[in-house]
Amino acid sequence: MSLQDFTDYKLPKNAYLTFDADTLKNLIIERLNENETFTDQNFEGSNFSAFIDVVAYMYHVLLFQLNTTSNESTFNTATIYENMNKLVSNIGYKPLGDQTSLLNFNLSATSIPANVYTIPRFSSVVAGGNSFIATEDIIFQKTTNTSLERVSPSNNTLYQGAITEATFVATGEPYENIILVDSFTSPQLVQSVSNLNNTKFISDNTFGMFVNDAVTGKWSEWVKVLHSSSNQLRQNDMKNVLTLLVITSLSLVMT
Amino acid sequence: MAVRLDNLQIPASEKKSLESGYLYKDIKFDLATSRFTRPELYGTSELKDLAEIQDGQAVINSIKNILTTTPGQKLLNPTLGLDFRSYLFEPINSTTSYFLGYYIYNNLGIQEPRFTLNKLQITENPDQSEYLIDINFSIPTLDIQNLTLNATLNRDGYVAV
Repeated sequence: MSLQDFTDYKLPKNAYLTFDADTLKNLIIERLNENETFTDQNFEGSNFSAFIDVVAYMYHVLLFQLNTTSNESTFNTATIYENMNKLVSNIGYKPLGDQTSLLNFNLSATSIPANVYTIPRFSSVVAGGNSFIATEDIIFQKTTNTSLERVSPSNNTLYQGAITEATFVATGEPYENIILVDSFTSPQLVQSVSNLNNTKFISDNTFGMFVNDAVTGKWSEWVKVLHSSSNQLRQNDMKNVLTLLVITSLSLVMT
Repeated sequence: MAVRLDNLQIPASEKKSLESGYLYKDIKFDLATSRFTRPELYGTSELKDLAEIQDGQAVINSIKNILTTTPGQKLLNPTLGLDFRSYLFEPINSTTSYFLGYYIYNNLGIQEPRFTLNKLQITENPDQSEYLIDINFSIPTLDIQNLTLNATLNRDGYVAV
């Protein structure tokens, strides 16, 4: 930036936009040279130069914060995904976040006797080199004994990715918070354009929660029980809970 | 026809400072203020302005700043300063002294154009784990000759004596 455009000290209202730390440093030095009181602002080793650097750098950092704060507060200029989610949720949208790919399939069965079969949920299928997961049980009925037969599965949707298990120990306190995905302690959860294969997130906001019975040691799916008068969990429901097994994270594989 | 050489002209700031009796003027690093005392009986002392250091003091202060600054410390000029850290784990002997002196000789004058290095003596002191650095220099623009800056370089860093 040249001072030729700003011949007096009344800078235009938007002049601050052209400043960064270096240009502000140059401006301060030029003004000091015009003032002719000090000379050592021109020498990098001087005390004056050190002070000018600090002032210019502080201005630069504050301006960056100001610009970022201003831009991230409106949807048109926001660049951070979480901020966009927050902004649209203010006007009633409910963004789901990153979504994994879905696969619909047809199922045929052969060489098995007529019966009702169940492929348990979380079973994985590899197709074309990619792994797919069923989030629900796949139940189908075969009516003939040996011949190839196309069957109608109860669920024909698979999710691309893999299941991740995470175990949490509950204290049994009321209103206990459990962080399912923590991008600070799990760096691999941060989405990376260059390495999408390692990206993990809770797809479709879907996760299963299982509790371990302290006496029998048996895992069973935890069903949220609500007060009739409010949405708060009853404390008694959490008393026998020792461990939560959370099924999360369908990873995204771009093909 | 007369030839006008603008590059030989003294800058306006230097011209004014020369008229005021000094060539270089810097502020003190602690932003100390100076006071003005009226030259009369029972004259009161009044706050004047930032205290200043002038001419030779300003240049010497600048040299000390460069010697005590590690590259990267100055926010907007990361190349300023001399990096003595690379000598921290070197054996204290005449060979290291030579390379230390060579490094200072080659870099100090570049970073502070106002002074001329006349003589540089590095004396190693293995018993105390330190080097004694004697810098003899001149400031040609001020016509100041044979100034000496003595310092030690030890594990505490560069310490001016």
